[in-house]
Amino acid sequence: MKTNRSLLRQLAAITALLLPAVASFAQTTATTDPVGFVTMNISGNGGSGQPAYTFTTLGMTNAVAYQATTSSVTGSTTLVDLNSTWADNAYNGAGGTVTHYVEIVSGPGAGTTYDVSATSASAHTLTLTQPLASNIATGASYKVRPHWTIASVFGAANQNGLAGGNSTTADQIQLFHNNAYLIYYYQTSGLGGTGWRQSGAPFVDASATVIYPDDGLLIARLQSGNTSVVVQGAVKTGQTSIPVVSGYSLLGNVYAAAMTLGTSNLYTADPNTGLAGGNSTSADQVMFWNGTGFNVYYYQTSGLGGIGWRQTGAPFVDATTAPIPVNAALFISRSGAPFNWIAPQFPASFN
Amino acid sequence: MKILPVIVICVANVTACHAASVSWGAAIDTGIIDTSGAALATQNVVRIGYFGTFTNQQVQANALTPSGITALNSDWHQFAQSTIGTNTFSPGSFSESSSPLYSSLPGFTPSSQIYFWALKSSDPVNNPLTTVTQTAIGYVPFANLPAWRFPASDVSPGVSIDISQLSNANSVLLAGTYISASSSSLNPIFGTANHAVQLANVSAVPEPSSFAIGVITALAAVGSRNRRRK
Repeated sequence: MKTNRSLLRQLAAITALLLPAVASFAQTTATTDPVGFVTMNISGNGGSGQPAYTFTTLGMTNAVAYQATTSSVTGSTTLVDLNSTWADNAYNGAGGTVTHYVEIVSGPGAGTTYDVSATSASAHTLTLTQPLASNIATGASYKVRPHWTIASVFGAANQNGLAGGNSTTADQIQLFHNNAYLIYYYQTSGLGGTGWRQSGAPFVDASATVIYPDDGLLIARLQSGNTSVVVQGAVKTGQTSIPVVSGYSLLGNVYAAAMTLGTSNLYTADPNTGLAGGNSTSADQVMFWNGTGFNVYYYQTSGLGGIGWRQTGAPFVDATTAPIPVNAALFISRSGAPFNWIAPQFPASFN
Repeated sequence: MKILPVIVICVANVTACHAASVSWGAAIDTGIIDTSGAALATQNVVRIGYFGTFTNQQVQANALTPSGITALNSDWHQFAQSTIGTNTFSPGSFSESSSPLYSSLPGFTPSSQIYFWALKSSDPVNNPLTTVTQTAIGYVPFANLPAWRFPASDVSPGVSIDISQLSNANSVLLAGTYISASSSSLNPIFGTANHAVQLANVSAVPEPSSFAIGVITALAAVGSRNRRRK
């Protein structure tokens, strides 16, 4: 994991290399997003025989493929841009397969994201798989980006650092979607041939599995040595709207800079827009893997120890500055209704 | 906004909106064969779980009779069930990913040892237990292979196991046998360098008390016939 300062040095170092490519993608407006890379450091087990677990996230986005402003928002799932120059199906795969997403970047709804299921050149529309937030106005700026996939992050032939094998010996990428871990690995032996697979489906190519920018990833490694995976892309700018569901969400720091519990905006004093405060048993919780279990934090509004961020077991100790580092993943345990975590941009400025 | 479907599910049941995950299978190089050496037919049942109170010795003692199977089943805490052929489309193999809700498994203790239980039944679809004819039960102690332990909590990392790991020197087969040599019936599925877990016969044996009554009755009948002959 890079410190913010060293990260920015890295960004500066390779910006010149990547900017031309970014510009060639942009059809209407050249993007100015900073580009660079972050490194996911993945622990080995040191020969213990036990899996070593690393909770991490990508911390970068793909370069912008298109950006402009909406001409109108027709219906809840259609974005219209009459000036668009895109081709049919430019931002979706065959049969409506999701390959790209739209991010609204200005006005109400800024930071919300939507998968693209259809792209029409003649109608100048993008059809989205989720309804647009109701307050998004005509003229809102938007960006279209390719999704990360297992293959684009870890290598189509698993050449970026993880170990292949079978379902029990390969390094694993675990995503927490739809209420459970989904386990992916690079299969080199066993039934079903060679390639990225999801456990339980050894014959099905899983290389195009989408990894969302706000996904937390759990890497389970059975190899002795540490490894790392470098993620090259664009730095996320602007605020980000991250859905937090009831129950558990495994999320990541989407920015290429650290934040803290206090600066994260996870607690807003309004349980409709942020985590619910309370005591150690009633408040919503933020959980960080510590190597053997989870360190649990919550926003204390009652009980001994005053008001503020606390770690369970230490109600008198201010935890406001507990870090959410670059590449960090965190579980959120939410007891109430879902809400969107509006994470402010980190760093606040790139100047 | 990719998790909108999750939101819908979670609103319906907040406490059950997450689950422990176990991926399990016979999909690497080790298949399941019956006592004749044939690859176990599709639709036969495989299960993972643990026994609540039975010791290994008690499991072993009960595994090979129908009444014993019934007794074992009453002590069985099941995490998931699947069938031969699932996701591999071939006999003798399967691949499954199971994420039941712990809250939907009353009495289930997280972090328990994972046991694997395979059944060959004459009616595997409707009555896999009451028509069982062959079985295998085994596990690898989690002290030797940590993956053979159910996740500690709903958010603990998922685990992946395969019956090929029953080749581990510390593995325990309470019924059935691990066959290192290649089985020809598995060649079309796994290639020639395969291994197998072979089921053992489940056969009805008389209860000791009824057996004794039968012997006494038979002896009495023989004695009576002998007396009449005299």
